[in-house]
Amino acid sequence: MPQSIDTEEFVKLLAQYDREVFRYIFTLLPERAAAEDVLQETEAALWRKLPDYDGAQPFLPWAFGFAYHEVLKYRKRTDRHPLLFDDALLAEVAERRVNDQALLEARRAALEWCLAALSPEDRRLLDARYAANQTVAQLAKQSALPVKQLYNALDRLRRQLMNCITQRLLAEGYS
Amino acid sequence: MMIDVVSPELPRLMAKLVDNLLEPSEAEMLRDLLASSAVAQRYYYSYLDLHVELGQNCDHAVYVGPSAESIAACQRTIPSFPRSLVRAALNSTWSSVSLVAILVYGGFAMVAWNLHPERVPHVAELEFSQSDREVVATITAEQDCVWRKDSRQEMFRAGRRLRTDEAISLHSGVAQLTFAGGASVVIEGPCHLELRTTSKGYLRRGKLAAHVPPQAKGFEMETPTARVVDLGTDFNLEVNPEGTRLAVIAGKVDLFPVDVSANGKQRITRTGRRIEAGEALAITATANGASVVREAIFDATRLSEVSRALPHHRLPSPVVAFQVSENAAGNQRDFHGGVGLDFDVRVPIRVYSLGVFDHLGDGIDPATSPTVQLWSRDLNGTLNITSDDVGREVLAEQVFTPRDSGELKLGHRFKPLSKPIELPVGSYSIVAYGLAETNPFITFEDTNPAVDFSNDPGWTGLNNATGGNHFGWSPSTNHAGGALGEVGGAFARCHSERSYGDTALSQTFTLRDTISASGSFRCLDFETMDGQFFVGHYSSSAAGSVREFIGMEFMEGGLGGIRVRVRMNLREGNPSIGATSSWIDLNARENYHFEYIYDPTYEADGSHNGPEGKVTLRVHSEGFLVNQTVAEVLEGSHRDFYAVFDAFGMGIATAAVSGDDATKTVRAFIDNVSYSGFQGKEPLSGVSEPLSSRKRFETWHGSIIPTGSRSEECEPDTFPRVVSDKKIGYAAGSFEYCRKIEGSRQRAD
Repeated sequence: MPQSIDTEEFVKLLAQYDREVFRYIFTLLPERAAAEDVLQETEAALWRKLPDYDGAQPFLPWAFGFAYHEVLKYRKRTDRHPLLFDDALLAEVAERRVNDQALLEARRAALEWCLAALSPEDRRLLDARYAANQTVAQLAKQSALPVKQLYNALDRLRRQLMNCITQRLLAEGYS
Repeated sequence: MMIDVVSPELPRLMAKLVDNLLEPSEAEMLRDLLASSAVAQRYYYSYLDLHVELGQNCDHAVYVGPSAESIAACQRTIPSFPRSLVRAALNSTWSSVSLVAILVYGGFAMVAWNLHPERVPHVAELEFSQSDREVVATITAEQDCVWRKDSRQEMFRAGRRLRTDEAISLHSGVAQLTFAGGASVVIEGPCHLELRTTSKGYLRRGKLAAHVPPQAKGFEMETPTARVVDLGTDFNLEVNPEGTRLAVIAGKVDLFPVDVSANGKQRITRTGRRIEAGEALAITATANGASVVREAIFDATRLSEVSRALPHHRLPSPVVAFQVSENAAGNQRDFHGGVGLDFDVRVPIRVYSLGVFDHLGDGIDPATSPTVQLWSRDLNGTLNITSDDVGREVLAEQVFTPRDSGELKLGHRFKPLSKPIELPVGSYSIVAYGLAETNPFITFEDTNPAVDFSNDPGWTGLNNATGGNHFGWSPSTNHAGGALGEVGGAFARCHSERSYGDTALSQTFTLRDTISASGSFRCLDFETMDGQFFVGHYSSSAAGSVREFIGMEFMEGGLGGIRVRVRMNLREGNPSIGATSSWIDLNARENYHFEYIYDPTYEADGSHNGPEGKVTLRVHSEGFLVNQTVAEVLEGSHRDFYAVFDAFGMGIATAAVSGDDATKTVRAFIDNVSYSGFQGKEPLSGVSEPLSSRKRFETWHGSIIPTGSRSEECEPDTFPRVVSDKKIGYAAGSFEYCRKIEGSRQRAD
């Protein structure tokens, strides 16, 4: 039996899941600005369809459905960039991604542990790149270091974190 | 399940993608990789998720000194990036990467490197200073601290981890350090302390107050004139130019003063002097280097005051792995072999003591000397078949005698190991020998064996085949795992009670009894689900007001489409009375293990007369992708209601939703269940071999049953830490353990 929810509850849900929906969109459209645009469109669509939302049902799967639809719409109206996925691959990745939600959350939890295992120097590099949200080009300009060098270092760090997270989850009993 | 082998190209392409450097040809390459492999797809979105998380996770910056800058970097925008003061840090060990350089700017340091053209230095090679050393302690609190910076220009602060041979210098203020071995010390500046191991330090100068919990016994502090070995206690130390002062506040320590040998060399004396609580001594060096020990007054008032005022790091008290009630009686007198329990460690633990079951809690009987051994267990290549497992190696042993019987706790006598041993993730057995006749162990064979439903269990059904429902014994399916035969079927949305279960329990349970069950389950076709059903102990009577259940309640929803919680439903004419925990979302298409226990002794507060009781449910999927424990304390008066549970099984309770709809269905099955009240019996088949050649034990897979608050004292976030698939089969050997804290970053607040 559908249970309608009021605006206030909806705003709360959006605030709670806003970033989660963004991550989903970013997977399908790995370009930050475009993904933020699509997120806005998605939220507008969710807002319009609010009367249809059953408060007893989980919010995320419902919102992901809209996000997927908005990504498709975005792809149709933009042909500036070559698209990474064709429609079939997009659908496949999207579905797999939804089913792996719990895995991704577990990986995020493990990240904190893996960050702690990094050397302070490595963490500072990540901070400069991520906490301050600078591009590699900006970092290179400020540090007078070659772009390639920074790029390699970030590549190495992300690989290292990917591996560490996987190892960590294995150690915790995930298989 | 997880990220397995990915093409070596993939990480490189992903890095380019997130840094907006992907060329069209590379985009094509990436697309091809993704189209060809699910593993690559998983790597793809895990990588992107990491990328987003790094951008959002400012929390990690908080832990990176210098703090103010990192936090600011999170909140505002660009931190000034270093571009001055290049200092070469040459390290002969790494001559091949000797061009490592450190850029230092106002405490904001970063490693840069000039590369050999063909070689990217691996991170291990760049951690040139101390990062490869073991973390031995953590700064867990600080007050008004002014620190001297270390050689890496790093600030000390709460949360900072300290490694082997690292030295800390406190100019003024008071700080608390917690050693990984469990001891905690409070130091007052000016103070210079060097860290040796997880249980050893060197105090060069300053004041220190040590608190050493039982499991950290053996903690040592050295000073220029003495060595102090702790025997489980609180003591204070001060080192000043005159020498060392020592005051023992509680317990006792052994003191080894520095002496001078015949050839004039200083050395620490071999024979210790036992110092008892209340004693205070000064150890001063004479002109020739020898020490003089005399009684002294030690004013550590400020230290003690501050020590008390500091938010004390919660030191873990070890958890008893296998426990029974105090003074329990044994029942198995005729088996003389080794009796063991297999267990699996999923998170590394430290074992502090070994224990042996003590029949009636009256001490070890004369003329017996039971022995307990902790073995590593060889799975023989099969994770699920335990009958072919063999013991590999004895990791620890403890012999119990009437004279030296150890401390009685939860039905067992425990003796501490001389040194705690660490158990990495793996398979183990705890085995007891010499328990028979006068000190029999307990066999729980007649209460909690697993029922595998290979034969008709002969359970009683109530309205379980009407209104869209159709559940019962299912001889030819094995959805819930194991061999053919299980219990379950279709459950439809309805409001009236339906059940299928064992109504011939050994006793009628009330909320004053411990009630538990475990087993495996699987849910199917839940896309059409819109209702609730339960698995658990219930009241078989559909008459009157006593129609309760306690156990798992399933409902549609959650991320995976179906979710479960633990519930104690007490009808008493009102279906909403009871206790419900938060939900555990179940991932679709997986088998799960469950374990619930109602602990009638759980005391939540003093306002209600008597304990409240608590229900705990743990659910984990076979891949441990879902692994959650939820619990709920009963309301004060619920335990006193007249609630009865005289059956175990599955069904729909009165508390379920209204609006019957035979098309809103879900299928669910349970298998290999154990439950309180089971009347069947499984024989104990023993093998007996001489102790020396024993490789196979009479074992029964055991699982740790968390009861009450006691188990939660030690790292509550991970309990239960030792898990397996069945209930305790024996009370024979046991041990005390804590989760191993490795390089943990405790927050100061």
